[in-house]
Amino acid sequence: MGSVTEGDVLSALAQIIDPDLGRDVVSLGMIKDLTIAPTGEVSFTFELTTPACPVRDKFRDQAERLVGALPGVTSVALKMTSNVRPAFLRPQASDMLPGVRQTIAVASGKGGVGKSTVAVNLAAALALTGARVGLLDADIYGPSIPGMTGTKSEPEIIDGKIQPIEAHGLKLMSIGFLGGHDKAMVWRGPMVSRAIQQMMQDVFWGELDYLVIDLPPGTGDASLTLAQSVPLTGVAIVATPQDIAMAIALKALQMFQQLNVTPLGLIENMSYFICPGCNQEHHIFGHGGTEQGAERLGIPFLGAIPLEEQIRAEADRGVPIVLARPESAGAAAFTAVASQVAARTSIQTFRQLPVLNVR
Amino acid sequence: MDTPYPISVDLIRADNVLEIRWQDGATTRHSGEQLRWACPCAECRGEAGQLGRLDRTQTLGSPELVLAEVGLIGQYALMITFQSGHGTGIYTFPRLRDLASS
Repeated sequence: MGSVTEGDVLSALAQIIDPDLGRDVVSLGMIKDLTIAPTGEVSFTFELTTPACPVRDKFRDQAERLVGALPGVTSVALKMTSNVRPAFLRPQASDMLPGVRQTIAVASGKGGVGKSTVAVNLAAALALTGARVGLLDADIYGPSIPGMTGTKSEPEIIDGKIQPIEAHGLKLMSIGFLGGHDKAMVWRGPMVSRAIQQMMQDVFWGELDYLVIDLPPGTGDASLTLAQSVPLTGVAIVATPQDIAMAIALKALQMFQQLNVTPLGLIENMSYFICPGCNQEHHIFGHGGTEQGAERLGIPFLGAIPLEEQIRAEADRGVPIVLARPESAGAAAFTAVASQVAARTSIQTFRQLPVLNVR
Repeated sequence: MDTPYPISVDLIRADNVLEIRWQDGATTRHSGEQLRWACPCAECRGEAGQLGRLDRTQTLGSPELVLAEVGLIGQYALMITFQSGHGTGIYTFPRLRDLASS
C-alpha cells in the first residue's frame, strides 16, 4: 500500500469548483493546515470566503468523499472555517471604514418596499452564521433601524469616537441614536451627506466582516455620498412584484451602474401571502415580476421574501424575524437571501481598484 | 461596464501629466491644461441655466493649470486638484477616456 502524499490530496480536492468564483478551491487558497500521518490519517482546514456560504455542506461532503476515496487514506478529519476577505485588492489602506471588509448597500427605487426590514434581517442572518456584522442606517429623514431593533439608547463617546449600539449580535448606528429619534431632521442635501460621512468616519466600527447599509429610497444625496465615499462591495436592490416597483428599481440600478457599484442582485419582498385561513399562496402584488426583471437586466435574482404578518409584527416589536421566529417561512427566506448575498459578495474580493501614484 | 476600467493612474508632476493605463491595454496621457479646461464641476460648468467660470473666461493663469493631487472617488471617478487649490471636479472614467480621443 503506497502512502498518500500532499499532492494526491490537493489534486483530489482541486476537483471541487467553487460555483460562484468559478475556480477550484485549492487554487483559491481555501485548503489550509494539511497534515498526513504515516498511517494514512488526513486532516485539513477548509476555509470558506464567508460563514454564510450556500454550498458549505456540499463542499464538506465532496471533500470527505474525494479524499476518503484515495488509496492509503484511513480517515479524513476536516474543519470548516471561514475568513471573509476584504473587498477589492486594496492597494493602500483606506481611512474610511478601515476595519470593514465588505460594505453591502441595500437600496430600492420606491419607498415602502421593505428595504429596512430586509436590511435588518439580512444583517441578523449574516451574524447568525458567525460573521461580525454592522448595520448603518443611512436614511436620515426616516430612520427605521432603531425601531426595528428595539434600541433607543444614546451612544457613548470614547476617545472622540461614537460607539455603535450593540443589539441582536449587531453593531448599529442611525441618526435616530444621535438625537433624531423623535425629532424631524429638516435638512437640505449637504447636511444629509455630512451626517452619513460622520456615521462612517466618526463611529468606531472596529473590525467587521460585513457592514450592511440601509439606504433611503431613490437616487439622491445619501446614495451618492455613500458611493463617493467608500468603494462599496455591491448593492442589493429590493423591489416588490408590482410592475411599477420594478420600473423604479431599474432607476436605482442605473444610478449604481453609473457609479460603477456592482449590483449584487434583486430581492423580491412581499412576494406572496400565505393565508393562515386556507394555507394557499396569494400573489397580491403579482407574480415573478422581480425574477423576470433580474433576468432581463442580466443581474442575479437573490430570492423572494413572503408577505407575512409575523415579519411586520416582529419588526414593530424590535426583533428581526430571523432571531424571533427562526422556524417561520419568512426567516427561512431571509436566511437563503443572506446566503446568496454573501456568495455574490465573495466574488467581488477578486476585483481591483486602480493604483494611484503621484511622483 | 462598456468603458474599460483603469489599472493605474500616475500623476507625473515633472511633466504636468496624468497617465492612465486601462484594462484593454491602452494608455492615455492628459495634460494639466486639458484637464483643467475639462473640469466638470458646477462652478466651472455652470448650473441651472447659469454660465460657469470656464464659459466666462478665455485664459487661466499657470497655477490653475498645474496638477497637484489625484484621488479616487468611490470606484467610478477621480478627483483632481490643481496648484491653485481648485479641486471640486469629479472626472468619471468614461469621461477621461473620451477626453483622450477628442
